[in-house]
Amino acid sequence: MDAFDEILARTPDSTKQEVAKNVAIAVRIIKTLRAQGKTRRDLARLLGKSESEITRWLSGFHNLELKTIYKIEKALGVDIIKVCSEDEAIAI
Amino acid sequence: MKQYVNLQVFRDFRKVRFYTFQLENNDTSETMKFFNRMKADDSSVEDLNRLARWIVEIGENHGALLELFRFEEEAHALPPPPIGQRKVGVIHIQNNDLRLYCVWISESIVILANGGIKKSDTVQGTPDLIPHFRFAKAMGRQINQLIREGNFRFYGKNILDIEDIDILI
Repeated sequence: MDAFDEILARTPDSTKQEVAKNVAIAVRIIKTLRAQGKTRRDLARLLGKSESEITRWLSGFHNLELKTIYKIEKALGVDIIKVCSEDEAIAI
Repeated sequence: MKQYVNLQVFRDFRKVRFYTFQLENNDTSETMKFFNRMKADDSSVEDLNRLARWIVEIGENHGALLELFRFEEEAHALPPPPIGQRKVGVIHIQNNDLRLYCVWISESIVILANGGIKKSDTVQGTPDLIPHFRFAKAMGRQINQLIREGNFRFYGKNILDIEDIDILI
């Protein structure tokens, strides 16, 4: 086992879930921007933010607040996250 | 005296193959040097955990979408490349102050380099980081040139004829 594997092995499940969700949300926003022919710069303009802040948000490391996600959804006109119903819930 | 730099697979995932640089006559790749060194640093445990999981997460489930990365020169108004256009540059994975420099080849290929902890607003203000930044820049520049000359070819997750690629530092 090398250092990379050791780091993965010591990482708590809560961090794994956090990273998975943060990356999934960032990718969803990135793919929505692509589908709409928009760039990070366009999103920055729509939200009145700097491009460097949007870059940070879309890195997959940033823990976006729900209210920020709502603003992005409104700016792009699409749902970014969806709360699953009881039927859809999968045990983790 | 110039030294050859070899390209090796660092980790292979479903959507991304991460490569790394290894100096000729060195036993350890640049990326493993980074993880060995940072693993021993108590101040960056959580950031390092997140960085390693990020590599696994995009490698396995999403691909190395360009927008997930940040170009180091971005602050100097380097325009981001248009979506879909192949672009090689020096970029880093940014998580708070932790930096891992890499050369982005495609959504399926990223070559990881070395990095460290940035302790000021600029790379220049962190002497420990400068050699890693310069190394990654030099690698990016040479790979760019090799691609233009047709001497660095890739398909899917594969860098073709990887043993024949001459990179020097």
